[in-house]
Amino acid sequence: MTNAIEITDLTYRKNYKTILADVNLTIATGRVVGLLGENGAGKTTLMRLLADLAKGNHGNIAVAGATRGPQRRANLSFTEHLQGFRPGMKLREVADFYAAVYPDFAAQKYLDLITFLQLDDDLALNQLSRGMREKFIIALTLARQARVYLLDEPFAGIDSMSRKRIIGSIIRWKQPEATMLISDHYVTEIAPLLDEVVVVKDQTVVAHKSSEAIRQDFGIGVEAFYEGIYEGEIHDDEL
Amino acid sequence: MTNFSATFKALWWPKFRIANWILGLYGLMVVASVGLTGFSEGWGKVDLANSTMGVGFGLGTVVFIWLAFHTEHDLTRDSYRLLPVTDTRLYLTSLLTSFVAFGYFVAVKALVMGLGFLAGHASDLHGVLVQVWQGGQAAMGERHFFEMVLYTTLFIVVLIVWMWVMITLIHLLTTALSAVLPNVQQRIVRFILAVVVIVALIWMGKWLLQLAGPIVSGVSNNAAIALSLGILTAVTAVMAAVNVYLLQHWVEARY
Amino acid sequence: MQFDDKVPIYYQIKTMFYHQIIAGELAPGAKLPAVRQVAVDLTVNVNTAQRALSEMVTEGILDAKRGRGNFVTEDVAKIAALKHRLIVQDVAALYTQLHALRLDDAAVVQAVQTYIESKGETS
Repeated sequence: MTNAIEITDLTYRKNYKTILADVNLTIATGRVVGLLGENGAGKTTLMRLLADLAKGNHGNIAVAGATRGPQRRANLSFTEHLQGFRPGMKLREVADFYAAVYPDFAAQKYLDLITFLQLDDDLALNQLSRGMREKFIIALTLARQARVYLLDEPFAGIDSMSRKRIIGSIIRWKQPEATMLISDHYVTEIAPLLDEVVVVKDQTVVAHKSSEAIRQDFGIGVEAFYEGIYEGEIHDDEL
Repeated sequence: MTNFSATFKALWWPKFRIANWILGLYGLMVVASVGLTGFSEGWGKVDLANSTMGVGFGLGTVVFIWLAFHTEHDLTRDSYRLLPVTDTRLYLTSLLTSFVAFGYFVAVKALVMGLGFLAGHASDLHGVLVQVWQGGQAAMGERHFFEMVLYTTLFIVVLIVWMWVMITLIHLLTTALSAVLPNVQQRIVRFILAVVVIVALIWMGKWLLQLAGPIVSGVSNNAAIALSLGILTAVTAVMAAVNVYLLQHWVEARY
Repeated sequence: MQFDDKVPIYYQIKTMFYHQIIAGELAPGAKLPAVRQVAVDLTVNVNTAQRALSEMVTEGILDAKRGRGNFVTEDVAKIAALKHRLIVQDVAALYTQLHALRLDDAAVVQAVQTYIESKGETS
């Protein structure tokens, strides 16, 4: 079976600064994977490289077997920040745009999602609070029947009720064969959600482990594992 | 993958809206002009031909610039760059939607002016039209008159497209450079780029003036004009290809 | 449900269901919610919920009926054995802890007895 994500020897520089170096990462189909790392560690860049939004990298990237940009984008659904839409645009109109351009956008799933996330799609983008905007982005992203979902910090700066709703919608609406990569720098609340964690540090992937294996082998939580790596308490030879 | 018509529609609506906005503004100007004449000089003095043709100069330029701005916006936003289409299709569709929106604006404005003209000169409309038509033909000869109309139209079309392609090229080059070079080198390269662009524009302007004279007067030989138009088209196509290449390999969306 | 992040989640889900079965909240023959529903109720990953349920099926506590879902076994002996196993597990844990405090076997029994008596008085 094709892996959901295959990255080999990926290096990416911007303005003569190395952002990612020698990244190798394989993620099997159907997993929910936490992409952990400090702000600026390169989590967003890694996702943007997967979506072919970041350019000029070396190395190979395949998303559900596809290596060319347009095919990769067709296979993945990415939480974008809706910068391309005018602020006065109604949520319904943004959803219409998605429905028009993404053949895998499921209208019924979208309606179920906005109902579950308690969104009123008659509102305009500029009427949304931070949490509502984040929920709307999740609704759009999950409404596609994609093979790979990239959720870039979906819980940043939003209240805990919205967070719970978003987590609920992820569990409820993720197809079994779909793969999900969720980036975050605060992991406790999503820890039970994750099959695996990938830790990005010092411009590369330093750890990739099953979260149940972390609990079993190390007797610690995912958060403690992640912090342990960042504070140098867990070394390479232990991974 | 998104098919062409879906891509076109997605990129079309915002541009259609821009054209309609400016048309609305034009409508307001016409109404204001009618109202002004009506109140100050009496309603009998209202001349619809004057009111529709005497206002709204420069609105075409506004639409042109706004559309150019929006095209650049399309090309550097995740919302559009995430579409599962090739960069060639994204770019050409963006260009096409801008062009169609501009054409729509020009057509509606021309229609309104035409109707205003009809209302203003309804009595001797036939006479006026015959005069324009025969005047042109008399000055240039029937064949030359048609050629003049044809070449002028083609010339304007290619020129508009060329300007948009040029704007995109400059924009994409600076965007790509800002991602690749460190600050100091960026400034140097931007300065060089600015000089090159200005020289190119001056040279281009001179060439276009030389080209425009014979076309409009209809005196030059057709082969030379066709060749010049062909060159301009080819230059535009090459620049468009460079734009697609930059999108594919260098230009990242802002986020 | 609040999970202890240091213990495998599938294991905690199993333990939770076992306690419900032994306490009779889930009677023999009762149907368990579907995997996805378990995942949604507990806000855990579907694969984790799946693993918990399939281990319970392997252990014979759940009967997987094709196309109909998972049911608590009607074999009472198996439930009794499960109860016995959990009791042994908990007592063993208690014993190990007290032993670590250097209580000998008699002292452990004494401590437990004293606790039960004092608990009777206060309540």
